[in-house]
Amino acid sequence: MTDLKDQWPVAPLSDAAKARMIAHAVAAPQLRPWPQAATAALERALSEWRYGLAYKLAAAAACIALGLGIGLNLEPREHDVLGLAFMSSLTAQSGEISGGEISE
Amino acid sequence: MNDRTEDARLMARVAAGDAAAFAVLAGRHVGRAHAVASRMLPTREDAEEVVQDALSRVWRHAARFDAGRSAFGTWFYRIVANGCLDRLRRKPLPGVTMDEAPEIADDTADAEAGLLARSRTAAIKAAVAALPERQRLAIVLCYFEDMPQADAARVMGMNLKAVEALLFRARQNLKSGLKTVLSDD
Repeated sequence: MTDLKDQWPVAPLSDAAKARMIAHAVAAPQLRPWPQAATAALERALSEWRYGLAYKLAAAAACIALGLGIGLNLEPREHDVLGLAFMSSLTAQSGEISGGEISE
Repeated sequence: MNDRTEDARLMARVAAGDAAAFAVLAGRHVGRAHAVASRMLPTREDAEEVVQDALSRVWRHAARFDAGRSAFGTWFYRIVANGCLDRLRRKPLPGVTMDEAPEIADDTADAEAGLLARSRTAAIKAAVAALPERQRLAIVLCYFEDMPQADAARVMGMNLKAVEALLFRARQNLKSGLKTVLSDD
């Protein structure tokens, strides 16, 4: 059984074939786990201002919109007493029409 | 520095995108991988495609390799072995035999001896090709590539006992397939 190897020789891979295979393999981009890829992209985005410019502008616009929205919502509001009185009178009227349960 | 440590060191550089380290690492293993694939698959082209695919996978997924979990060789030969098995499932071996045997220099200048050697090679190829896939892989790794059975078990994703059982059955099948060749010895 041990001399089977000698009786079935395999033609070795030529150096040219090896070089071709290696060149073909390294021509493809490497895949990285997402935390590594994200860190690399972030580092590049911070060091090159042009890298991911569209995303940077979109993020800036989103920040501005959020900031404006929150800022407007935080402004103090006055209670609209007249409006509340009007709404409550409407509710009372509809109660009377539908059976007068509220007026009881 | 032993082979495993050297492989792990090279693989760390490959994971960082070092193509030169990849060339060195591939150069250390590609010959043996090609020999395994050549003995498993019907044609030389199939063998080269499987090895090419395995190299591409190693390069693309280098960051996934964990030197603490397995040796690079085990990982790489496992990719090659799985590639061979996948290819055999898609394209089973033809019934007769494989490629023509590579031409061997006839040092003895004895044409009859050369003819006998070629017919033996053809008989061995046919007997190995007739084995079930897993038995063939076990035989190729352990007997043709001199891989320790424990390493072959890791490459095949099996336990040692299962590989021993596969080898036992493969030897039985080979002996019956090679009766005429063995009786000539």
